[in-house]
Amino acid sequence: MSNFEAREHLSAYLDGDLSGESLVRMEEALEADAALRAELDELREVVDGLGSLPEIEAPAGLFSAVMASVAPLPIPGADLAAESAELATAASRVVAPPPAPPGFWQSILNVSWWLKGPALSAAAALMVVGVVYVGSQDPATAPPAPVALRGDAPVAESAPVPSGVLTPDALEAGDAVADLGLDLESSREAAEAAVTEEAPAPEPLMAEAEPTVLAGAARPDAPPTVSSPASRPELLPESAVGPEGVFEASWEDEATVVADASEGSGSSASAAEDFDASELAFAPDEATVAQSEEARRSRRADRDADPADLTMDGEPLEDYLDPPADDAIVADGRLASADAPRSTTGTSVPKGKAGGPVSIDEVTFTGVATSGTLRVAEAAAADQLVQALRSKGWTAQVASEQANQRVVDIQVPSASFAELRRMLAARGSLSLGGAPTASDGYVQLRLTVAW
Amino acid sequence: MTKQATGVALQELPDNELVAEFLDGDRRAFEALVLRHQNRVFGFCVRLLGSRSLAEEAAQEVLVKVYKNLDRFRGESKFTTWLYRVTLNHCRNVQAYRARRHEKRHDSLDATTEDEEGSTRKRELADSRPDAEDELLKGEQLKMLREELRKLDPIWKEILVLRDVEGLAYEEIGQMLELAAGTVKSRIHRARTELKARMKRRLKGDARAL
Repeated sequence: MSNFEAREHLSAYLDGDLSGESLVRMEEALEADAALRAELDELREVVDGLGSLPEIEAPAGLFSAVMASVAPLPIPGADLAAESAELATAASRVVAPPPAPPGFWQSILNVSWWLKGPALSAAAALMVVGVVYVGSQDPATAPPAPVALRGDAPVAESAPVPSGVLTPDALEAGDAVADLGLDLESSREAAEAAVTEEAPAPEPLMAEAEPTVLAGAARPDAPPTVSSPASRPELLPESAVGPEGVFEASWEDEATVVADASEGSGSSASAAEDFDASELAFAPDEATVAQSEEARRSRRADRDADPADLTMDGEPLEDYLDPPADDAIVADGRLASADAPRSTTGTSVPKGKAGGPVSIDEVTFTGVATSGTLRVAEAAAADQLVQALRSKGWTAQVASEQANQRVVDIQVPSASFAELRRMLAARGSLSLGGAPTASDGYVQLRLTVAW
Repeated sequence: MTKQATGVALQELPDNELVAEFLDGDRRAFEALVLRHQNRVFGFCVRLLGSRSLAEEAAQEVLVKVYKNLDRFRGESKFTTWLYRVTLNHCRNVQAYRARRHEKRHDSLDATTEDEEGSTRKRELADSRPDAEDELLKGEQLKMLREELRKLDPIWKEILVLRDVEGLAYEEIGQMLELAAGTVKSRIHRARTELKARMKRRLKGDARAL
């Protein structure tokens, strides 16, 4: 082996990949050539250095963010036929709804606060279809699209409960439009067309992308009025949100082959036995890049905008962002319509001595506070959560600790409850046990943080 | 019957069985996969993209992609090989997108840069050279090595990270990059030689600056 050839095999020698005659000749060359040995030492330093680079730990929020992103997604390869059957079953449980009471829309908007992911999707679809439904009625006689939700979202006792109800099962089935006697697919298409009519949306990246059919969702931190936190990725792909706030693409990107920069390694001619990972590659074309840039600008603008300047369906978006007003909440955990008399059984939450927010020491949890569970990746996340809550000026106290969970008592101004809920949802898998119980402008939450 | 039903802890299952559990409907199996591999994915993204903030977003997107495409993994190769491949492709796309959008960071001398550790710092010149104590010198050299690795052409960087940082075998790398074994070996050697040359230039430059 000449020295030139030996140099070409130094790395293989370092990796222990030489054997037999090649190994013998390499060792002879090294013994005879000091420069070759020096080169080997330098290479070894590089290899050892790379091997000693410390492991990089994922940020604490990565796990939670991923789980929140995938929560609304079906397990891949799920039997579509089974889903169809489930949908049909759910639809069969839905009956025609009666007229809704006055103030229904306000109630349903408030109630939607507490809906979980699948229910929200159904509620969003209902709202759109409801517009179509109402639009087809005589304006003088037609009531708002009447639907009451049973289960997670109780309504005020003072409001008559419509006989047409959607069970949680029905809601989880994904669509509730069948109860109005409309063809599911055509309803979806009509809703999509209605949303995209004003400004043609860029071409979806994936055929399976399912648009969220209400405008106003472009704001990344928008409340789950139209889409639950669980169904909204923490980090939206640039291509996922169009200028009209319509989700136009799923997270799955266009299956576009990216040319390998290296010779002879074109992904289009995948030789991999187990998979064709090039299918997962995403190479944005110019149109996609432009669209992404537009979406980015839109999101930045939304982020920077005063909530009062944002609107949805002609109404201030702020109305959708903020929690129900105090007078819309009664103490037994139900949401009252604006017309309903306010309950007098509310729990009194003391204010601080100066009339401002109280310290946690001054808070007396009465046992009627809203309860919830937040699943996080590790114990440290629970500590970070408490710190984060306190840094907001809210009260948070660890009431009890166990090996795999902590119970944290939280009190926030009711006007901040939406922010609290978003904050919690961003940190893990969140489930709340009921509507907020508020009094004197404060909401209490007993949160079990488990990992 | 799922493994959970038989009392086997998900955390104890090998990757391929977790994938099978997940495809059988157990979402917790995916949670276990993420917990097991999130450092790997994130670290690989950081090495390739050179920025924690970019890597955090990329890693999340990769793991969501993995969720949506696990049914394409047939278990005939190691799950980690598949995972690295998905991550690599995604990072290539991120880099291509950034290059197209002219968002590459300009490497001016007075620029404030974000390094792989997530800290921002002013570029330190010769007056920050550490004492001659071995540990400090080693630490400084590792920092240089990390920086020079970040600046490497992607074609060299990818294969070096896979081989010398992540410790993958030649065969796995060849499968992932779709390269013949001989090409993998020669490219690894060229990549190491390139990094070595950069380090020598860097050290000489710092010595002159003294």
